[in-house]
Amino acid sequence: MKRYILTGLMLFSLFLTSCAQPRLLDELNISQAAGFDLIEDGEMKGFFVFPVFKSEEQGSYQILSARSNTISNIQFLVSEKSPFPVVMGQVLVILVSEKLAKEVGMIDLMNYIYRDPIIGSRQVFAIVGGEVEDLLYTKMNQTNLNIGVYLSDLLSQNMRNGNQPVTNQHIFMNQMLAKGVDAYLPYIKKTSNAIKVTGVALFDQEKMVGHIPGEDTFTFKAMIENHKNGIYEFQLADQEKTHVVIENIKSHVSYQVKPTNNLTKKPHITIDIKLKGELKEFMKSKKIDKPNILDQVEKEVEKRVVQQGQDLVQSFKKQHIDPLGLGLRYRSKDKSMTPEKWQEIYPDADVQVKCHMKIVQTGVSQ
Amino acid sequence: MLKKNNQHQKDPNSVFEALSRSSDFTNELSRSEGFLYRISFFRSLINGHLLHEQILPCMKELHLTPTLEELKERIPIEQSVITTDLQEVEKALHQGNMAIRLETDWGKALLIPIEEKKGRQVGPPEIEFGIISAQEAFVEVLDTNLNLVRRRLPTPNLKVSEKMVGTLSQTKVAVLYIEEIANPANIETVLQRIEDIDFDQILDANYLAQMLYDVSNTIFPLFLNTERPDRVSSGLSEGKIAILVDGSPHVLLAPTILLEYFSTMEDYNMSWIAASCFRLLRIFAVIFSIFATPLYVAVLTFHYELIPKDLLETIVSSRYLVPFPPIIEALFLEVSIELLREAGSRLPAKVGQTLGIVGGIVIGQAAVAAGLTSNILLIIVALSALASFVTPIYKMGSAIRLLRFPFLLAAQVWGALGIAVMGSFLLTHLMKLTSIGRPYLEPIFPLRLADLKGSLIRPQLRFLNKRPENLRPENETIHRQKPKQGRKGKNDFYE
Amino acid sequence: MSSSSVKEKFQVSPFFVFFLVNANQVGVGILNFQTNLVRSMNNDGWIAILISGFSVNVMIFLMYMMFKKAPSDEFGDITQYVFGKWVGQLFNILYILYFASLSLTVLVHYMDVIHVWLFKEIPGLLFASVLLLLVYYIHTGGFRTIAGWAFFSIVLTYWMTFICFYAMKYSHIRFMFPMFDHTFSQLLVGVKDASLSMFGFGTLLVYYPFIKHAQTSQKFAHMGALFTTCLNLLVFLVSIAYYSSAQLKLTKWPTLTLTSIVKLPFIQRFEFIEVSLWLLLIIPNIAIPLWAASRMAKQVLHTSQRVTFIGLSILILVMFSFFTGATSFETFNQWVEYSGYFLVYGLIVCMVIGLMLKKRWVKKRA
Repeated sequence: MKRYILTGLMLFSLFLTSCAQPRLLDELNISQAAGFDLIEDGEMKGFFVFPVFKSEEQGSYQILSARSNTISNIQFLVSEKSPFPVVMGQVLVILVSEKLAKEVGMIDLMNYIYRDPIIGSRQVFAIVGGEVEDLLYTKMNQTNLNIGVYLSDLLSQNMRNGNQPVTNQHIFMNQMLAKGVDAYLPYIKKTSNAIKVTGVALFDQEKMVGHIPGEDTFTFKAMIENHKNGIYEFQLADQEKTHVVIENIKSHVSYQVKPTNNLTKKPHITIDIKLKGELKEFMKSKKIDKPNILDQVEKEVEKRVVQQGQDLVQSFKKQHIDPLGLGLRYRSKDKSMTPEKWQEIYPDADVQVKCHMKIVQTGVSQ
Repeated sequence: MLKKNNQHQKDPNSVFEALSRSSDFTNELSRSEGFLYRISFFRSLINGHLLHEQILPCMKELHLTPTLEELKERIPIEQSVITTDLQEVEKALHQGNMAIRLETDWGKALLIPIEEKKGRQVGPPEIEFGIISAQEAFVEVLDTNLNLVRRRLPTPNLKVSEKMVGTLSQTKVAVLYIEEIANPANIETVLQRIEDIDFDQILDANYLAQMLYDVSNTIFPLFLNTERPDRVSSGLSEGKIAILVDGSPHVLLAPTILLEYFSTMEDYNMSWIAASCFRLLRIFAVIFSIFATPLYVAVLTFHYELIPKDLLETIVSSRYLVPFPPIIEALFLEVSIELLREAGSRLPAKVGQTLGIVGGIVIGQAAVAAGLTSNILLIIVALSALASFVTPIYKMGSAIRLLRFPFLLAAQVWGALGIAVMGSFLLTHLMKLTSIGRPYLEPIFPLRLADLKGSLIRPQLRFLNKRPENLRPENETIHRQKPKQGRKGKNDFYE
Repeated sequence: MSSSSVKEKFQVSPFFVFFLVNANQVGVGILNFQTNLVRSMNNDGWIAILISGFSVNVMIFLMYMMFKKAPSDEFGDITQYVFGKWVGQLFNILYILYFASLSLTVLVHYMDVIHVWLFKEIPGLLFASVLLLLVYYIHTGGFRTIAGWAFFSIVLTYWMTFICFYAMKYSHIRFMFPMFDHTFSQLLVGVKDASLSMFGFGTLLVYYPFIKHAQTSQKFAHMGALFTTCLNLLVFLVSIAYYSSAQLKLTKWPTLTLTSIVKLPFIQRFEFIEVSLWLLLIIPNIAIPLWAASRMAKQVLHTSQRVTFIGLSILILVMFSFFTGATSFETFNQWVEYSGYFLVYGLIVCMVIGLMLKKRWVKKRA
């Protein structure tokens, strides 16, 4: 009996002293979005978006900011202004201003974010054309989401249904550190009354070097990954200048790499895009009764996609970046390649883009 | 009609004299045709009809010098005994016998068993109610129970061993087993343990169960107690041993395994697909019942990042008015549900319904409106309380309800890790339990794949051709599986 | 071959050797073995895994051969038989220390994981004492409970391999190539790194008498080791497809960071649940070597196993409090590794040779 009491007391005291520190859900300031601006001399201004959970009003939020040189210090300084500690476990999207990405680079940001296990791999980065402060402080009316969730939904919806290539923290980190491929991120901008995804930002190692405008993102995404959905609008070169809109049902891309022995000759890489699409809109009311109208549209699409693809690849070569991962694909075929050698032969590499388009549906009407 | 003597004559026998001090002990001295005899019995224990219609008329027809042997021949009641052992006489009188003594020898008595079996009629089961199964349940009288079992197993191999347990209560305990099926080691263990019991009063079968347990520091029941005869007979035919206690409508079955507490006899009355789904549902309900509230406490106290972003708003705004941390809230709700259950089980039926409504609806609703708890936690606690009642055996249900509390405390100390640690302790405890020497976690832990298919899902009856191996039965085959009649030679659909 | 020295009611059926060997090997090694392996062997690490798996199977074969030839099935007696009483006892003491330090490394490593991923503030010593209390409770059930724990830890946690299939959505096969460009000396270094996660089968030496019909369990032991090899192979292949090699070298616990990509409809961040469930996986890794050590200590010191267990636990707790920093633990880890090579690989080979020679010597004398 005495033994039981003794062991019971020991266990009890053990439990009491080794309690973990509670982090109660409603006593935390859970930030759902963060943004960083560059001020000067490497000092950053950081913003955290906190949802305020009131049972009557949905979607109300609060934005707090602080300035410092490192991200965790910004987090701490923001905590100094808030009644609850600031935690980043539910952060969905992190915005980085274009200036910060171009001048300072992303490696330092990633240092904290990759080191702390509380921020998961699914969180999305986005580059803001302009100042993050302007973007975050836009008043969104007629929506019951706070700005953080709004932005995260905006980005994920566009990745799923639109022309944005899929990216998240893991994919970004993967591509940024790897030697044969360069990273890319969504590029958003504030327009007069809304926030819009306007293209894809391109990176060379860790610094942003340029961005692809919205019209070319369809082709870019088609070259990067197999995707469903996505809209492509163009003009037919005929008398009425018909506008045609194609919705992509399924696209498939494959790369054929012909290795050269010991890099003596130019490498040949062929990018083969297969598109299966639906004719969504055919303006100027031309009836699609003749079968060769569809063929004409198909050929037109193929031509345009090939042209855009070649232009993109040329611009990549000029900027010495490789978001398509050609270096990595080449390395998988030819063992002797090293990153330095690839830098030499990349501008001369012969990259051909081929496209094959098939229109499968035309909707319910002719 | 007995002749009443007006003066109370002292009985020369001291034992009978001592017993006569109770007012319900009749010790009549009578005279018939010139000889004296004494009839002694406990008025409250004997069957008056038998006494008046069978025995007393026989006493009248005696001739001059009767002997007890002659009386024994005459009286048409079986198992009458003539003895001079006063201990036996005393014991027999207490069990409802009557003693007849002649004046030739006041020390020798003829004992005639005429006990009255007063008890309930066989009625529907109260606890293990079934929708489409037989509505017979055991009662408190041992012989009625034996009747119910024997009717279902009219085999000569069904053996009954009766023992007397309890120094004060002298309770009759019957141990049943089918000789060629049950394992002799099991039988011997049970019989030996019953003999070793030294206690004064065995009021119920569950007292006996606790004394026969292998391990006494456990909340899990190690013997299955049931009040359905069909469950007992099916258990006996598998190779289990049944223990019936006089005065208790519950019958103990041994050895048992953990998974049996989640199966009902109704499973075998339904189609096997439905029964298997319901069995899996029960197992899921038990797991939910143990882990739901602790997980809520752990997630809200330590792991806010696990909550999906769409649920975040719902959960935080539900806790908007609540001033307590989740653990206090959870404990408050759990304790009030336990109070409700305890009070509800003791209320008389008429008062119970009203208070049930008050307790369930008003208190729950008012607690949320007053801001003492959040409505999400209320749903979780109510569902887990409901889920803990899915086991048909009451003892297992109370074990599950109790298990929740250590998990709650562990969740408060270390979050999800604490739940893992407490779960490890629970698993180790379960692994060490044995039911009369057989492991408690049988088809899972000493892995027996053939038994698993019978425990987790309910297979078709024609696949049940072997008895469960955990009972180590002597005779394994239940029936030989007949090959299914195929459509030999018929290739087409419509032939 | 003499009959077993342990009563039958304490023995377990030979089928359990599969679980015992497997559970003992899979522990904390699988969390971070990819980092070292990729550093030395890049994408060819799978060859190293296969080779070390094969070597484990060879060692198991040698162990069974040793037990077949030896006069007793208690390992403590066999060492004394081959090497003489004093040297044999010395080796027994070395084995005791080795097994105890196996438990210690697992404890320290897991505490490290918990401190980084879950709760920084739990005092390590207290948590370790709660775990040791649990292990004591397991020991009071005898060897059957320990074998049962090996069984349950596999059955209850291996469903988490679905994570590998989840991660494939974000991985590219081309990260896995090129292969086959490493030299033989690099291969040896790689095998050393791969063996880290395969140690633990050595406790088979001590629980051999507790197996019914011990020689028939050989196929189960081989299957268990094979299963571990397959598991390690799967995790490694998924890791190199998921991470680029630069990213993998940066990550401390690749398997856990891999899990953070998983998103289930009702749980947003699965890795915290995985870390908590990992406790179930490491309990056999603590319990079995500690049981083996206390059993051998019982034979050396001739006291009851309870006393030796308590003594060893106190020793482990004392050593535990020394490993507060990361660097001192690294050295200790190296020591354990090298002693593992010596004691398990080296000594067993010597014992088999010694047994064969002794048989010949005894025959020559007779």
